[in-house]
Amino acid sequence: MKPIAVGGLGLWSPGFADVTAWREGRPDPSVEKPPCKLVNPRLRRGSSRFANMLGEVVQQAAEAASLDVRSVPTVYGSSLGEIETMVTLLRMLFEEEGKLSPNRFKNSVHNAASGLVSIGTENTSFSTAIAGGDRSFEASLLEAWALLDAQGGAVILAVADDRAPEPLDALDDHEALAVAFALLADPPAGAPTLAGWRLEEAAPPHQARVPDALRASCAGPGLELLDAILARRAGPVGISPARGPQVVVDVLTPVVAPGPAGV
Amino acid sequence: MPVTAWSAVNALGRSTTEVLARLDAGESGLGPSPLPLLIETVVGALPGELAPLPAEHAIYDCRLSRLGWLAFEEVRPAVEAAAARWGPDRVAVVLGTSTGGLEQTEQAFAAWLETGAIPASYDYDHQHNFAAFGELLGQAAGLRGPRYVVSTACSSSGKVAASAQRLVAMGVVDAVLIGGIDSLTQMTLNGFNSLGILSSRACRPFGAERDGINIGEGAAFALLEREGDAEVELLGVGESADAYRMSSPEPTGRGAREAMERAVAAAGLTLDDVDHVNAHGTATQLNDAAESLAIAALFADRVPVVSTKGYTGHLLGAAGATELVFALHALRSQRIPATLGAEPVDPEVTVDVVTSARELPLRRVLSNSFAFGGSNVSVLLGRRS
Repeated sequence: MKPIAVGGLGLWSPGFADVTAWREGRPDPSVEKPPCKLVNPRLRRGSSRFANMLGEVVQQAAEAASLDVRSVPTVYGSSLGEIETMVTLLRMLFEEEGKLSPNRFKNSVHNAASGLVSIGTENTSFSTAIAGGDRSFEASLLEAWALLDAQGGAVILAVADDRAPEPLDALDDHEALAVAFALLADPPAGAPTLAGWRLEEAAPPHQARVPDALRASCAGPGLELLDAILARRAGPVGISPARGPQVVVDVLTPVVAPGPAGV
Repeated sequence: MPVTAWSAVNALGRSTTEVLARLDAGESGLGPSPLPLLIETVVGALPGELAPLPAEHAIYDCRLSRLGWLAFEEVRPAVEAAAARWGPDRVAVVLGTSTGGLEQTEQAFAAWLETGAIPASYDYDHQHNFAAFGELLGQAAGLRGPRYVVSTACSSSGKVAASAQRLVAMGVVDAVLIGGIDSLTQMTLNGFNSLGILSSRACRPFGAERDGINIGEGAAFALLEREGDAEVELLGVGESADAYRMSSPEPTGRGAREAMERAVAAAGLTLDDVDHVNAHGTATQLNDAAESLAIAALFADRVPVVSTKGYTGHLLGAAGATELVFALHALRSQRIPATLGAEPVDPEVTVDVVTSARELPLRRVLSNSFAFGGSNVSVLLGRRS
């Protein structure tokens, strides 16, 4: 398992349009919908906020790492996936005698964002969609890491969950959150590096100041890693949810000035 | 990587032995839908009643997990032996599903519309969430390795083979239980109907009279180990993206062709080394046209091609793993089943569609799965010498 580098970051959450806004820590109430220019406008009419969140952070991370969105492989992760689309279809199923919107149905799959972004960017390279429940971040990072280990090059990892709509809203208390990491097999000089994937009984104490509602998202464990990268804080970082065995990785940070992408 | 254990349950039967016996006999498992529907179709439903999960796992109980448990019980001794051999931290579970426990959520949603309350017995995290069934298997077999789901619609449980290869190659685990699982749901059936691609009769893959798919349910598993005694091994996996439409294939079959080419290249082989293709073959006009163009571009009419959708229906997220078991069975038995419903074969389909069972020497078989979002995978299995 070779070390990999982080070449760029992406983040979107209501109030936070990108990594810069997150770092400044001042939420903007006008930020409610991700712009997501990677999904073309015709297809965006049928895409969910969840899919647009993923597309938005993929674009941010790719730009930050100067990667071409038309060719970079992508790994998407989520626990709830297209849950808003599912609830819309359930209403149609039971209130409209099974007459479902074909557009909604084809965008209800867990890999809808993967498909929409690949179509919008004409990207025919590798893409996949992972689900790991509250361990979706560590599962998706492992899938991306293994892909880099096998093929080299670069991979964009994007993990997100939107809020669950009624009547499933009572099941989760998280806020919408998407994070992305541009991961590189060959660390360029000065780039933060990830190494030492391991399973431990307890994780290192949290360092990032993260609201509980974001930490509860399946993408929440990614914020701990994102914060360590942004702060160029070397050391072990836990990337698992609170319960159960803890996956820990080491962040290695060469001493250089931060680049324009904050990495 | 050797395939050291496998299982499949679906419309053909409640055990692997029963499933493969009916496949060999050329019997279809398609029939009327057990779900309340306002549309006319036939489905591949698992025969008989499904027993609840054992009491200690009751929190996960739903139709999906019952289906999966039935198939898991067959491979469980091999999985537990792998955990003892490699260590519980060194065995991963990577499964494919498209719907998860949606069928349970449909029932809960209907009850909520009627009463204003979600039933107390409903538990999204343990019944519907895509990760729930893998969590159950991990607990049941005492595994502590990575557990996750690949959910790329109908290519899900083909792509898990690629994930497994990479995890073992990277050295984080030594064995991976891969598989696929999906159950019938009203939303799936009505959804495919809304797209105009659900057939009202038994599907006819590659046939001149094909008019759409049938949906099925089932589960299938394969245990892949770094080393082990096995007749069949996983040789290579190819993945590609169409980047064309959400629910229709790129019409020249480019993405399908690339997936097959990459699977063969990943194995260090050439196209001449492939003896047979187990096609995605859904029986929609567009899929079968594009897929047959892709196969013809690589093999002309040299390799026999089968679609097994007429036996089981399209198992969506379980299709890839189920058809891996069928491909593995073809390698072991040196026999290709007939493509039910294909005759008369579409004259535009120029590949060699197998319309009656054929016995011949088989060394390597490609198994294709293609999905919404343009997600394609082709898996190459080989018979060990």
